[in-house]
Amino acid sequence: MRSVKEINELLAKKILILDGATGTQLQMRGMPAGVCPELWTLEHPDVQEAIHNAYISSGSDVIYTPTFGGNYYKLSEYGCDDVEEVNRRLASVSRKCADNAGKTVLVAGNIGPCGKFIKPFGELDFDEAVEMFKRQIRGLLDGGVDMFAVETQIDIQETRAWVIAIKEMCPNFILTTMTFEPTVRTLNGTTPEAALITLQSLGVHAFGCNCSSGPAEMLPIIQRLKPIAHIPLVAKPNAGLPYIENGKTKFPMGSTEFGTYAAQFAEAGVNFMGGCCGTSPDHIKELATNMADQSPRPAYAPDYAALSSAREAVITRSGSPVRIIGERINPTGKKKLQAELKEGIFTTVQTFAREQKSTGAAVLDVNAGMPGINEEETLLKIISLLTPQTSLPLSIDTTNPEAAEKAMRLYPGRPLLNSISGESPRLEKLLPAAAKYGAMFILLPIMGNQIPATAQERITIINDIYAKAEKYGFKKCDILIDGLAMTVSANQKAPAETLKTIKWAAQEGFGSVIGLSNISFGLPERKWANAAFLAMATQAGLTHVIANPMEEVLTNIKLASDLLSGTDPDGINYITSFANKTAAPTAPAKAAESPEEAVRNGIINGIREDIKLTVKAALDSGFKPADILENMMIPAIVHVGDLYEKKEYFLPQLIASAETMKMGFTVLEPLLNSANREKKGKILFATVEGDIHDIGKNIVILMLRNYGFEVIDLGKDVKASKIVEAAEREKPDIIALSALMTTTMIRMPEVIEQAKLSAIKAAFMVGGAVVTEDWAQSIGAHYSANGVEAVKKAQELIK
Amino acid sequence: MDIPFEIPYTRILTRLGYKKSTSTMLSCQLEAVKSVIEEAAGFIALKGTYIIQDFKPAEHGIELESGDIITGTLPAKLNESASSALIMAATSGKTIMDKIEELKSTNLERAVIFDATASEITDWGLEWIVKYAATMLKHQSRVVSRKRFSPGYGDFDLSNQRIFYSLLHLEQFDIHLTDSCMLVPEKSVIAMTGVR
Repeated sequence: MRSVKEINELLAKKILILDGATGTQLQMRGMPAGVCPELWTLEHPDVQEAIHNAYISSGSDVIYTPTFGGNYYKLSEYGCDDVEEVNRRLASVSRKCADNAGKTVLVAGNIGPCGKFIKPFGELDFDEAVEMFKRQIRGLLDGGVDMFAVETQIDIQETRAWVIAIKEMCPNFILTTMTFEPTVRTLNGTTPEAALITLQSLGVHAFGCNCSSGPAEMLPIIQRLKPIAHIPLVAKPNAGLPYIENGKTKFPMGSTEFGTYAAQFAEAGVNFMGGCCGTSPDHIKELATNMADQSPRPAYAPDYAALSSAREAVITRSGSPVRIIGERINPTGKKKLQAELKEGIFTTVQTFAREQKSTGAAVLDVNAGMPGINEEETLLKIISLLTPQTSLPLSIDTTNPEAAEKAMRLYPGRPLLNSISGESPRLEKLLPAAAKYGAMFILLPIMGNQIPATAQERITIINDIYAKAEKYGFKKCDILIDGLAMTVSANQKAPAETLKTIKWAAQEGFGSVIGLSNISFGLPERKWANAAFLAMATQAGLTHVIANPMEEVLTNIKLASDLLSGTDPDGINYITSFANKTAAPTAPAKAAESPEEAVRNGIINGIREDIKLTVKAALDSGFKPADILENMMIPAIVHVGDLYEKKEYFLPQLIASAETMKMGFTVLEPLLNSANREKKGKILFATVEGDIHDIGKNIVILMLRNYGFEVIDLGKDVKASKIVEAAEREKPDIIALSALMTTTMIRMPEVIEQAKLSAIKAAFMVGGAVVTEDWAQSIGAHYSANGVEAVKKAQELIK
Repeated sequence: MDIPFEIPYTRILTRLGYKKSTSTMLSCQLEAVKSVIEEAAGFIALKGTYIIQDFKPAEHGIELESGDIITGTLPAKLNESASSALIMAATSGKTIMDKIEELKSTNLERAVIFDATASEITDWGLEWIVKYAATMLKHQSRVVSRKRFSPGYGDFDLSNQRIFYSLLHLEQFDIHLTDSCMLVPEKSVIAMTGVR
């Protein structure tokens, strides 16, 4: 086995050449379709040796064991449970070829996706996956691999599980590559930056991409990763995108063209390069030849603070705007949230997550500490729930070290741990756990029961904790110093000490954070003190703030502070934010609206909240109910219908207006006797038998009723006989039928025929996603495409 | 498996009839609709499954390795370009449908937005499965066609859903099949495509 140090020394000297495709080579050398590649190769060691030797002769410095699908889950699909032995034997053959190469050739234990999704994205338990993955790792280690190549990953959580499994078993070099779509995200939505941040903080030794695209598409990914990579980068592109020719899968890029990309990848900073699907020893030979005179570019990215979710990364450098860590997901003082968490309901948690993101949070703090619930269980549930739903990284906020460790293990990104203080034994438990899972942490400068009053006392504690953290590999950029915002109403000198601590942290290269609202505890109108202190702290060099981004004054002051402190280059965030706010329309001045205009505008704009009051105001002004209906409401809804037909309004606007009218009508209805409101006609409505889709029908009914039609709704999945029975009883002017599927619209003529047999005189009107005018005519019915047309058609038919 | 999704706002808005060039919606109103879309997405638990079955030609269709015969013009066309069929299903789950049912009687506008969101995200789920299978199969030099089709279109009879329902074990996803071969929860879709 080569140590990480030895491999890094090799990387300092040259760009290491990986091998090319294995699957394609196995097929070319006789492996039939449909067999288990690992088991077939096991029976054909001569083929395996020939492929390895071909790649070594072509210039590969690293060969991959043919164990892409050698994990427990994949092998069990072929009825094989001997995971360790299969991997050991295959790796042994690779080892032999490398040892006989006559030059330094490394053996990478190749690991592909397991084919299952791990919690929180799938059903497979994280710890179970880690244990099962260890079986393959054990076999590969026994076979003598130098390093591991975890490749073609689309799921960051599975990649984490592999990395954790390897690190729990050995200190070997770990290279991971993920597969990115043309959208430059994995299929599961992870950006290259998020994947790099998560994995390099977790301790992988090289990261990059393989498969999915050719070199031209992969090059920009390497280019955008290099400025933030602290580890070597890897590229293993396909020979272009596959196509079918004469029944065979082909890759378009020849070896010569493939090799021409060497210089560009070297310039971009790649440190390992090889080929994936469609590449051959010829491709690798061209690549190795052209790469021979290229010098490696070591990682040059400066230190920065970075957090990541399963989808995106938040990178904070000197000069970045202050990041808001949304504080709302915390049951303290929130009765509704407390009640929900006790019941295992997470609706408010989801709402808080969504709202905080939309109002500017960069990170979401998650705290489940309250009496009467299992904090650990609840915290893990919230993390599992939010992970697929939000792209924001999470801050794990707990005083329970066990809960913190489990949350960090589960979280498929780089979390922020809130917090680590100098208290024993929490410090001794949390530092190694945060290091193992690659978390950033908030350093709380507290030791003992007393909160240090002065900045100098806090700095002493910070230095002491940092000295311990350094031993676990933490750098200053991995830590946010809590400035300890204390209540100004208790001690007016406290804010100054907090600001001194923040300033010192900035000068020393640490990030910093404050729990902003502490400053104003006990004061009235706290938001002003909070906002002013945020501005002052920003000036002192604050990088993060734990606060409620729903407080507009606070987010506005933050935007202004970022602008004035120069951390919002060209004021882009400030201008964009306030430009949008000023562009927001202001409601027309109500005082200027007459009662008629208020009713009409209420319906046209779909303002349900006010319509009852608006209609009552019109009544109070002396308008008669029939006047309001006929001369204000109906013209308004007709206008809305026109706007919809012109595509100026879309469906939600049409419905909002229709529902507003319906609500307004409830005020008038008791005042209108039948003589006041003439019914426009009676319509019997049903979705036909076998069809369970009825939302379109409901929209049409809403429109018809607003226009004064009496509508009898028979519901969905209604048999023809039941429709006919109702028609005989109700004697409607129109029978309206809806269907969404081609397979159910054939029930429409059935209804019409049965109705005719029963001598029912009603006209028929049909509609639905698959129904056309021609079809309607062919069955003797009238057609309407939507609610607006249905009203017009009904008015025509009932004259 | 759980399928991670990003909200396809444009597709949902288009489904609801929004046209950037003609719609007069104010930006704040559009944001409000997007907010409802996001709320709807919060009720969606997108899940999916797939199997790959080799097939041989059958009269006006294909015979799967399971022995099931699938007839119709679209399945028959698979004979020209594929040797296996990728059969898949995606569902947005029951919670969103319960919510839509509740909203139908209380707030139809929201119900329609929820409905469109669930439809598009379910469709997105099928696209994701195709891409996922393509990624997994690429290492075997196999190519998955991006053109998928579902029972109920043209002469590809809806009754085929019964065969696929059984092959995919959709009961494990709490999906039920009605007598008329519709899937419940409503926002559940079965589809197939070819693998070469």
